[in-house]
Amino acid sequence: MDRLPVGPAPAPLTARPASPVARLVRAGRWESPVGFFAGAAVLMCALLAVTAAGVGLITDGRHTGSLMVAGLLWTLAGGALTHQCSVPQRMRATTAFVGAFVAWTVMITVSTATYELLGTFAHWDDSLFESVAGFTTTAATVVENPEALSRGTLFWRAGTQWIGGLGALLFVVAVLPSIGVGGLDVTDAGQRHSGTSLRSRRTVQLLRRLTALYALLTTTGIALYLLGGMGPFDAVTYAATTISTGGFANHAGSFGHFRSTTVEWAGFGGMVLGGANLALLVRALRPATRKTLWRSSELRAYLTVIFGGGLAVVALTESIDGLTHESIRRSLFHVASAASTTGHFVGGWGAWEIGGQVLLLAIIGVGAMSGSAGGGFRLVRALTLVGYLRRELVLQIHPRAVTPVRVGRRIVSDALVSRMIGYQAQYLIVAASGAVVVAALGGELVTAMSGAISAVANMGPALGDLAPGNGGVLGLPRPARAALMPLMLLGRLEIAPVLVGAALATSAVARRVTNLRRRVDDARSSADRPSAG
Amino acid sequence: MTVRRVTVRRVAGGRPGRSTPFVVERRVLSASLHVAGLSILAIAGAAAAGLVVELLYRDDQWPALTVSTLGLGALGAVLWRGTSLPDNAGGAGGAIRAVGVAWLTISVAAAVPFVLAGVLRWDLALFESVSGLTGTGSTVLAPIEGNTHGILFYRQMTQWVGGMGVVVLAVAILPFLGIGGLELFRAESPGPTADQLVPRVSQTARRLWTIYCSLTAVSIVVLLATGMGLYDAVSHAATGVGTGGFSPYNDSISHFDSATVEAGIIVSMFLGAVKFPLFYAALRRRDPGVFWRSSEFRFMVWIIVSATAFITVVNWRDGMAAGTALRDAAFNVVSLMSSCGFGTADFTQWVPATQIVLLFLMVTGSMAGSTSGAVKLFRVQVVAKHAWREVLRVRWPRGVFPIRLGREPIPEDIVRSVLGYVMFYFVLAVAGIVVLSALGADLATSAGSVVTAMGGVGPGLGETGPASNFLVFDGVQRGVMIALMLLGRLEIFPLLLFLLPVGHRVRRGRTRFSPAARTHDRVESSGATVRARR
Repeated sequence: MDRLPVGPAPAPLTARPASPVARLVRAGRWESPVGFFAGAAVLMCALLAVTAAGVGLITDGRHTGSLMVAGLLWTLAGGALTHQCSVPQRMRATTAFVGAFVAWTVMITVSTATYELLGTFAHWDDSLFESVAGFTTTAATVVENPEALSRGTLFWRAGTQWIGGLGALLFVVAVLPSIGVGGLDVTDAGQRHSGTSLRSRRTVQLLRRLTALYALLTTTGIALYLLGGMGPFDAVTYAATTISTGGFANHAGSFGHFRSTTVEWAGFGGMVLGGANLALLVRALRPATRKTLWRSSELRAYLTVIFGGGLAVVALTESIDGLTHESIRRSLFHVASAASTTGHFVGGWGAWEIGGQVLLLAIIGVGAMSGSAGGGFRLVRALTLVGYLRRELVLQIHPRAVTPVRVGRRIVSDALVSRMIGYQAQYLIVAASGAVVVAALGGELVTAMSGAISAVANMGPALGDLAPGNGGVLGLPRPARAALMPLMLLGRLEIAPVLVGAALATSAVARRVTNLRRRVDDARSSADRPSAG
Repeated sequence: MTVRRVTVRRVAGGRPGRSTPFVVERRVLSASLHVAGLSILAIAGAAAAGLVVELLYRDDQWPALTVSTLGLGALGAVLWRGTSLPDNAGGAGGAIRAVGVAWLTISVAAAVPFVLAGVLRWDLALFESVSGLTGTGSTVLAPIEGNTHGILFYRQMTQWVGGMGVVVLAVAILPFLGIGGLELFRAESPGPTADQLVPRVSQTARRLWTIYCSLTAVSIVVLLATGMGLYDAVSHAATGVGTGGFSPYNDSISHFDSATVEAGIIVSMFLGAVKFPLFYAALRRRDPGVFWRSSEFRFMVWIIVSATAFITVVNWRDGMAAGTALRDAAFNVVSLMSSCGFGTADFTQWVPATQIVLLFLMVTGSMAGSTSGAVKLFRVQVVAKHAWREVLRVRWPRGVFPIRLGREPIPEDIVRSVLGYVMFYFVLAVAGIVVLSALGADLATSAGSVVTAMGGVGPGLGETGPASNFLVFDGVQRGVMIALMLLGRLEIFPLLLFLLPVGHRVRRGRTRFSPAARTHDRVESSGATVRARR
């Protein structure tokens, strides 16, 4: 938060004096990256609203007017912000945190306002919750019956998750590692350059490439769902919520609504893709690098979790379903949903034997691969943790041994390991305190514990009352529901950036207010002086 | 396990005044067996104490207790006297082996009296003995009160002996040379604060036992003052200061139904939860301020007060009378946090939020260097500060943020090992929860049971709450519990390295993890090289 607008910019020497209005609307008047990010976020929402209006127009024709109004409003607001603010060549790393925090706050506000405009919910806090869940790609919904919503609203709802997923991907995968935060830069998407410039060519290129890949992956998802037998509208919205690992569904029964084996397999494939590392998926596209794919220990771990977990769930719940094609498919579907922290379901796991459910919760906690839009602790960190623990065992016997921690063949530096363990500790502390708060505000024991873990992991459904089919978050009292919101946001932006961003944003606002007050005081005293004299 | 037969020269007892001839004798050189023998003798001592009580009360289980006392005594004596300590205990690997062997042996040995008396089937007896020795206090004895005084007293005594640790006892008695004693000491009561009170480790161990006995005596006096009988006072002081939590009554402390008794027990548990070296320092310097100067102590008091306040308020708002709420909250917070596990109320019936808080207290435990189990507050502080430091590091990426407790910055390698331990604890707990759930327990039950077993607390949540016992589990689940109790008591690494094949490799110095350090380590870990260097 270094250079936000403080006073007017120095006028260029050659400029001719402009009118006050022209000076006010001059492009890039404020050198404020945060303002620019916020504006870009609002513009994204505007684009989404306009698209949703168009979709509404083509399909059921409901809410198109409101969505157009929303689109117009957000275009104006976002356009004004992006026009007025400029991004300086060099930014401090902390700007990114403030930017992300402000961008998410703004998007959530915009989305809440949009839901209010559409009149989707009876209470404004429900609009807020749905927005938070949307932009944090969490599948916790307060919509009781999505089928009753208009197509435009559904598209907007799915779109918030798509934008949230993209934002998280860009922030967590590209921005954070490039400035050395969060300890995820052992990934292939991450890069190690020491500079803190976010406008470096590499970073910008990476951001662009990730966006393109994300769009490509979504298209793949749409194709997959169309092939599986979904209608075009469902295919687009479900692909958006699957690839972003969001998990909002257009039907109360999620994928169970379609009663189709092919759709379920397509959903499985989509979720596996959504939770996978994008950089690895690119490798799979090129024949030259296809063979190196298996060298990624994270990918092997990811597939082991999905297929091993699926088999374990089948084994643990065999007494209920028996060993049929259906039980295997359902287990794999739900395990993929948990491993990618998506939250789609077919029938849910509420009726499973408890062992399978707890295993699922553990998988949710670990979460998706790094380099994906998925949430959770992320597999690469889990693998590093394993390496770290292994080294601890060795050090018990050989206290002076010098052994590096490895993930696969790659050596992870001690600084990075320390960061990862720190993140693990933060994750635990946030989930634990979240569980206490949720329980104190009226959640049941199992619901609160699993719900907090699931919220921090950006999954949504959990055990107990939160198991799909048991009512979801609608079964929680409103205060407990509200307690989940900060957890989702913290989990989505990797905890520390949120705290730092929020603190810096608050202090910046406070500073601005103090400055303003001082200026007013000065003006008043200078106005007083002549009269006194 | 390597047992070597070597020829040692010993002085044979000649007549006084005459020149004493040296005779050559073959003896087994094994620290493991030596320590195990001595540990079994400690169990025989507990059985003897039970026998005395049995005879005093003229109960009818004396034959079983006599046989166990004599049998275990003989076995222990044979192992102890029949073996000799090698020149050193073989470094950390040898210490781990010795502690592992000792704990597995006494787990079985302590089950013998229960089986001989016909009180419990062998597997249940094993559970009860492990639960006792590890200071857990989870019980499968139901009903408790139908048993004779001697058996129950023996049960209490296993917790008292296990509370301080049998190997520490052995170290206190044995003339360990070189570094072996310290390694053993560390292997049983590890943690970053296995500080030595005095330079010699055996004296440290002796002093710890002296403090332990004194605290128990103080606690007995306190409990007598609250109106308990002598038998009750000794029984509860032993398991209170030992933070075990066995009680000779079905209803545990609610048997007495008296706030005074509960206050006395709180004192007893609190004494057991304070780091013992602090008592030593306070006595030595005649300055009670050392307690408050310890940041861990302040942290403990702060947690006890705030958790009690939180639970009291939540329960009170839920409709419990304010007085009862405060009394139950204070007792259960101290009981679970000190990993004692005495019960006065069925907290599984409380508001879920309070149960989650209690669950976390079971995870945190109390001060390092006390008889309490679980993660220990010192580590919790380090982990919390590390988490916060990483937040600061995000803000100031090039900042240097030492972790301080009190004024002293903690060395980074200790921070590293603390984090490693806590993460190990966490991963093991998650694995335990998944396994127990897979065996059929619901999430609350399995989480509560795993946490209670690893922390050595006693009651769990859900079906294994204070009003219940571990008979609700089947044999396999109880087996998991036994493993977790032992792992938790020995702070994971010794037992894990002792049992795992990977540990075997590591112990032998043939680790594939550390090619660079291999040669260096071999010198460190192999007794032969060390001896050659001397």
